[in-house]
Amino acid sequence: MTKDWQLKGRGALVTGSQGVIGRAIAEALVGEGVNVCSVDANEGAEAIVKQGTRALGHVDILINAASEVRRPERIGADVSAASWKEAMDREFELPRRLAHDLIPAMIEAGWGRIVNIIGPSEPPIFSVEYAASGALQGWAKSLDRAIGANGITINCIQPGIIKGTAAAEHYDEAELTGMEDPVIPFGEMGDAADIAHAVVFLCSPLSRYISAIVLPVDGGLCRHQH
Amino acid sequence: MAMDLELEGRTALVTGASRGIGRGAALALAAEGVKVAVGARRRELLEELADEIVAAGGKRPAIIVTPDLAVAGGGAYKVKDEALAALGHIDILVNSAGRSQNPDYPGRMPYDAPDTAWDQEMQLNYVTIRQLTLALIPGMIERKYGRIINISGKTEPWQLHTANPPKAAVHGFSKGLSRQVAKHGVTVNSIPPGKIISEQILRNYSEQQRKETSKWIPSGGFGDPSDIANLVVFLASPLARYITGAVIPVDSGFRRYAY
Repeated sequence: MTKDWQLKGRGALVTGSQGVIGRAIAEALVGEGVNVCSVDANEGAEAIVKQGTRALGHVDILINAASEVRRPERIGADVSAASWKEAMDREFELPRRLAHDLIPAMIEAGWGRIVNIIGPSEPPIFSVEYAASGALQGWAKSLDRAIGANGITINCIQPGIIKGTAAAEHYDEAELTGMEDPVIPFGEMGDAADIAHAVVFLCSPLSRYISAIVLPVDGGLCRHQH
Repeated sequence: MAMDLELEGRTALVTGASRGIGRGAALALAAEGVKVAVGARRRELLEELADEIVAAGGKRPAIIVTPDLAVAGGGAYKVKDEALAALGHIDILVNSAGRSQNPDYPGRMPYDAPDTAWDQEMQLNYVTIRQLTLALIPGMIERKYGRIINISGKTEPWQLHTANPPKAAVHGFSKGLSRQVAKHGVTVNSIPPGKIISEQILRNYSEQQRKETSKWIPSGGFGDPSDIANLVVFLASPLARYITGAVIPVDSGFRRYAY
């Protein structure tokens, strides 16, 4: 039985079109009848918003999925201010800015969905990406206080290790899944489609009462219990 | 291509199904073609629910009149036996029987409350869930498919309250179990509901209190059982196979903690 997620005819702007996760999300949304504009995140916020608005007329849904093309880079405690800022701009400031620019039209329409694909919360190394991920979570939670009454939800999805991503190339799947209590309890890396399914659900009007959450889609990878 | 939830023909046991969140979950699963067993203490309410499910085109659910699950003594195992007798096997368990207050001690707990007041809430809100879950897990592992969905509670205690320790226990139990059974196609997740209109909420909150509380809910209002049910249906589906060990609030951002 096909599920009607009530998304037909909506317009979605998806960043990170060059990565497997961004691509899977775009395909899944198209499958639900959504008009999708996929963009390369390297173009900068202003150009992306312009491109999305021109292509879609109205952006109902913003998917910030660009960060998955990166993987946390181990840095030294003496990281330079410039490289720190560059990474924070890419990982935090861009998604924040896109939402900021698109929210007024969502408020006017009385409906909107923002889904951020974020990094993990359990840093095994020192890296800017973890700070950016934490910033996105705190930002989304507090922004929800300002926009929740306008039919807009904002949520974060925290993927585990997903096949085909740059991050996945740095892991040996057998090492993550081979033991009796594997690092990835599911026993396999995830598919980009696993992330896409969760995105479709969170974009649907059926999830109107779910906002400001961090949803791990990670086959049980993360360790904290909440 | 549009998504198929692949729930048609699966089986589910929903506890606490007579009212509120459990009832909403049973209705939503049945609407997706799931064969449901509904458990609660009040038969007449379950009969009404069964009629409603049939009227909506669903399969008539099996009715399980349960003992008071706040009382220790194997009630969970009786429910399990009856559900298995009715359905053959259980693919999806929705642990929705529970409450946020001991009816004899509404509000904050006095320091001298008797142990029984605490024990009953632990029994209903955690022990019963653990017993039912562990009793059904072997069958799920054998069939390589299972979904445990716990309706838990927020982990932001604002006063001394009987519900907080058992709800936290559910989260800890679920995380550990989830890591052990994930490789067998079984997921274990918990949903702490926000303020959802139900019999319990209407009893615990006056209209004035609901108005006051709404000021702290970002969307500005209380939710509906269907808001929880929509997530239950998604988590029950094979589409959510990679989501496990998660605590997923459905509260319109009501709770404060950001992670």
